Amino acid sequence: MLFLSQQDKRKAAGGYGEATAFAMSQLITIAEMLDCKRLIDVTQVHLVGSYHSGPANISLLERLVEQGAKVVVPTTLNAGSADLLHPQGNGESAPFIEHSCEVVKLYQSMGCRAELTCAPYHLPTRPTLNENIAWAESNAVTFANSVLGARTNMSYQYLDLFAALTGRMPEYGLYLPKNRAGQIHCDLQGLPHHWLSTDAFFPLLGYVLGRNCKDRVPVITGLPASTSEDQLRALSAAASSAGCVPLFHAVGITPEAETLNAAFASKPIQDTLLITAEKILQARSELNTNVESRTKLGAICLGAPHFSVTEFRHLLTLLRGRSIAKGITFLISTSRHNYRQLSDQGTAQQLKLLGVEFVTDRCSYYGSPFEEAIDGVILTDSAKWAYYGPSNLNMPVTFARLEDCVISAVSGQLCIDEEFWRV
Amino acid sequence: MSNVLTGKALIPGSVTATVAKLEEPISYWGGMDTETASVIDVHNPQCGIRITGKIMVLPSTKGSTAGPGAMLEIISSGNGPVAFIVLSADICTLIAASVAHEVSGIHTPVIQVDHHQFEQIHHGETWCLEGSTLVRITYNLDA
Repeated sequence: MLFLSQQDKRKAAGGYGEATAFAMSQLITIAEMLDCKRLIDVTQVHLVGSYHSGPANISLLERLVEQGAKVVVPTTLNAGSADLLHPQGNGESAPFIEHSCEVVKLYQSMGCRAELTCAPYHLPTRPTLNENIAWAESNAVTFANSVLGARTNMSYQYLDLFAALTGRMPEYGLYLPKNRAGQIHCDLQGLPHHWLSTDAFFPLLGYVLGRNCKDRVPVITGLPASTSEDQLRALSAAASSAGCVPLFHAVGITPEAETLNAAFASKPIQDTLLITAEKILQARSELNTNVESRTKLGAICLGAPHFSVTEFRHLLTLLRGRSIAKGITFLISTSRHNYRQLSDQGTAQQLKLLGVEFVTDRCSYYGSPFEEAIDGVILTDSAKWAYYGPSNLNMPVTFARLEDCVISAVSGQLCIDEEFWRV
Repeated sequence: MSNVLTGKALIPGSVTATVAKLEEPISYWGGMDTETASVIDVHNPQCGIRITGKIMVLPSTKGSTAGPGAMLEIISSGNGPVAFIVLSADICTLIAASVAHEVSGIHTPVIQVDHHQFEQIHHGETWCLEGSTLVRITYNLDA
C-alpha cells in the first residue's frame, strides 16, 4: 500500500499547477505498479534525453513548458548526440541539430542546466554519502552509488523528469539499504601486481564485472589503497557498458565497504568470482573489434565518459611537449564545465597547439566525429568507447593504455607495448 | 497447455491480436527502429520482426535508460504494439505506455505474467487480453 504525504497529494491534485500534477500522477502510477511503500525526496536530478528522439518527445516537452513546468531541485542534462557549442563537424543533418537545440531549450525553460555531460560528478553539485538523487546516465549512476555512496537507480527517461518537477521518487531498488549489500565476492589476489596500479587495468576489470556479475552487487578485494578516482570512474563506466552493474563495492576503498563484512552487510558470502589474468586478457582481446591484421593508425579517441581535468593534466605530462603526428586525429570528449576550467588554466590552449582536438556536449562515437574519413585503427583508453564505438561507427577499434595511445599518436604508428600484459 | 491464464494487469485494457514474442530482453533505444517499429539489435534472436499491431511479449527491457523515449515515438506514431506482456514489472515499458497515453491518447495495456505463463505464449498465436485474464484464441502449430 502506497503512503502519500499531504504535499504529494496536493501536488497530484493540482495545487502546484498542471505540470506538477501530471508529473506526480505519473510517479504515483509507477510507484503503485512497483508496490512501493512511499515516495522519497531527491536532492538533484541528471536527465537523459537531451537530443532529438522524435515529434512525440517534443510535443510532450512543449506541453509541459506551456503548463508552466519548472524543476524544483538542481537538474542537469546528460550528453546528447550533437556538439551544440561547435555545430559544424557533427556528422549530423542540419534539421537534427536544430531539433536537438530545440529539445535542450525546452529543458532549459523548465530550469534545467545544459551541462550536456555524462560526468555530472565533475560538477559543483556532486552528491555525498547517503544522499538520495535521481541520475539516469549509466556510468554516472555506478560512480555515484559506488564511489560517492549516494543513492540512485538507473532512472529512466521521463521518470527522471517527473522527479525533477516534483522533487520526489518512488522508493525502490538502490534507495533501500537492504538492496545495497554485496552479493558476489570478486577476488583479485591472483593478478600480477603491476597491473593493479595501472590505469588501463580498471576498465578491463569493469568489463569483466559487467560480463560476469549480471544483476548482482560485486564486492572487490585486493585493490591497492592508492586507487584513484579516475580509475574507479573507468571501472564504473566499463562495468555499466558491458553489463548492468549500478553498484559495486571495493573493500578499503569505497565508502560502504570499510571491511569485507560491512560490504556484505554481515551476511555470509554466497558466491565468489576469481578474477584471473586470463579473464582480464580475454576482456582486452574482446575490446579489439574489426582490427584483424590492420597495422595502420587512424585516430585516437579519449574521454568516454567525459575526460576529467586530472586526466588532461596527466595527458599533458605524457606528451612532454611533443606534437601529434601529421594526419593523425587526436580527439577528446569532455564537458563544457571541464573545458572552461582547462581554458582558464591554459591547458586547453597548450593541448591544441600540440594537435589535440576537443569535442564537448556529446561522445565522439556518435555521428561521424571526424572531419575527414579515417583510414586505420582507432585507439582508445576507454572500455566504454571500445565497446560502443565499433557498432556506432563501423570502424576498427583497439583498447590501449594511455601511454600507448600517446606514443602511437606522436610517432604516427601503432605502438602497443604487448610486454606489459605478458603474465 | 492452458488456454486461459491469469496475469497481473499493470495497465489494464482489453485487446485481441497476434503475438510478437521476443525471447530475450531488448533495449528500445538503439535496439528498435522507431520509424519501422522493428527489432534492429543484431544480437537479439528476433532481429527483424515488426511489432506494429501485435501483442509484444518480452521478458524485460535492458540497456539504455532512454528506452521510454524510443517506445513513446513508436506508440505515438500509431505503429506501436496493441499491448505488452512482460515477465517483470518493467519500468521502462510502464513509463513508455503511461506517457504515450497522455501524449497521444493511445492506450496500450501492460500485463505481467510469471515464467510458466510466459513459456505458454508463443509467437504467431492470437490472444485475447481482458483485464488480468489472457485467453488463447488460435494456436501456433509450429511453436
